[in-house]
Amino acid sequence: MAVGRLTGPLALLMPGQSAQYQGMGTGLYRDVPAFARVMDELFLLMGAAGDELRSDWLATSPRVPIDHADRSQPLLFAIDYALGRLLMDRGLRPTVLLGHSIGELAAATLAGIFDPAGAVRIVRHRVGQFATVPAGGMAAVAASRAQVQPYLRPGVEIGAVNAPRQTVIAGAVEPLRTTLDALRHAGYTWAPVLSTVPFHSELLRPVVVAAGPLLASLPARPPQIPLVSGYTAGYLTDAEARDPGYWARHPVDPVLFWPALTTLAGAGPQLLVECGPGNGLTRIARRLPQVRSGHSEVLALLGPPTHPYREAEQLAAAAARLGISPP
Amino acid sequence: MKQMTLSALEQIMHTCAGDDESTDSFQQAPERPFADLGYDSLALLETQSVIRREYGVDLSEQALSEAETPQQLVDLVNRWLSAA
Repeated sequence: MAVGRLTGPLALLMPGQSAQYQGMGTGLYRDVPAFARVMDELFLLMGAAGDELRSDWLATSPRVPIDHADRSQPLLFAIDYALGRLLMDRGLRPTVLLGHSIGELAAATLAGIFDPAGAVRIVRHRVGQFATVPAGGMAAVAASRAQVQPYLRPGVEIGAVNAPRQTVIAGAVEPLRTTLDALRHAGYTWAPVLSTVPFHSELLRPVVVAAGPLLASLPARPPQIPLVSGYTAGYLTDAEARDPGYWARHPVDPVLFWPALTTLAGAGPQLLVECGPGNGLTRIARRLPQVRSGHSEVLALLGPPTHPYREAEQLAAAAARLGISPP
Repeated sequence: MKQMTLSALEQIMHTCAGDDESTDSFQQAPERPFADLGYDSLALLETQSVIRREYGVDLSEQALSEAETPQQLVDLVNRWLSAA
C-alpha cells in the first residue's frame, strides 16, 4: 500500500450504529490528551450520566455492554465528534461531511449547526427514550432495496441503504424473524446487525414525537461546512438545518448512505476519511467507481478495530498521511 | 475438471457487491486483501453461497475467514474441486 501523503479536498465520513466495539477510542483517551479533552468536555455536558458512561466505557468489563444503544449511541457521537475536532484543531478544513445515522449528528455539530451542548442534549434525550421502544432487531441483507422490499412483513422496514447490494432492515423481533426466513428461502444472504434497538423503523415513532419540543427549543444555524444528508442524499439546505422536524425524524427515517455517498463522490476527486471507530464506511466507499479507478482515495483514522494500546499509533500514521503533526 | 479463475471469482463478487462496472483488479493484485478491495463479511457470505450454488463447493465459515485475498480464495476452491 502507498504511504505517500494524501492531498485534495477532504470529506469526513462519520460512522453510526454497528461501528461500535468494546474499548473503541479508549486508547486514544489515555494516550492523546487533545482527544481526551474533547471527550471530557462532552461527558461533562452529559452530567451524572456522563460520569457513568465514561467509567463504563473505560472498564474492561462494562456493566452495560457496548452494543446496547445506551452506550453505543452517545459514545459513537462523542468519538466521531472528538476525532473531527482533533483534525480541525490541527488546521485541516474538511470540504464536506457525511454521517451515518448518529454520525450525522456528530457531523452537524462539527459543521456548527448545533453547539456541543445542544447536540449532547439531543443525544441524551434520544437515549433516554429508547427504554420505551419495543424489543426489536436489525439485519443486513446482501440485496438491493428493491429486491428486499417485497419480503418485508408488516412491522419491518428498510433501515438503511448502505451499498447497492447491502440493505439493512429493522423491526420487531417476530416479524423480523419471519422476514429473514423468507429472504433466506428466496436465496438471499443476511447477517444480524449488532443493535438492541430497531433503528430507523416505525417502532421509534414515540422517540420522534418526544424529541419535538426539545428540538424546537434548540438554536440551529446553517452549516459552516457543507453536509450531505444521509436522509435526503442531497446537500443539507439551510432550511433543513433549521427544521426541528428534520432532526427529530432521524430515528424513523431510513439512512440513504449509498445514495448520499454517491452525491458526495460526484463532486470530484477527494480524500474520504473515516472519522470514527473502525473502517466500515471506508470499506463501503471502496466500492465507489471514483475510488476503484483511483481518482478518489480513502483513509480510516483508526482503521479496523484493534487493541486500545495501538490506537494512538494508528492515528499518528493517519495524521502523517494527512500531512499534519501527530496529535 | 472445472476450476475457478481469478476473473470468475471477480465476476461473482462484483455481482454480490452490485457494482455496475467491472475491472480486472483481482488479476492485477491477487494478494490484495478483500478488506482493501471493499468487500465486507456480508459480501463474503454472499460469495460463499454463490460458490456453493455454482461450483458445488461448500466452504465452512472458518475456511472462508482464513482466505483473506482473491488468490487464497481461488486456491481454496480449486483444492476442493481437485479433491472432489
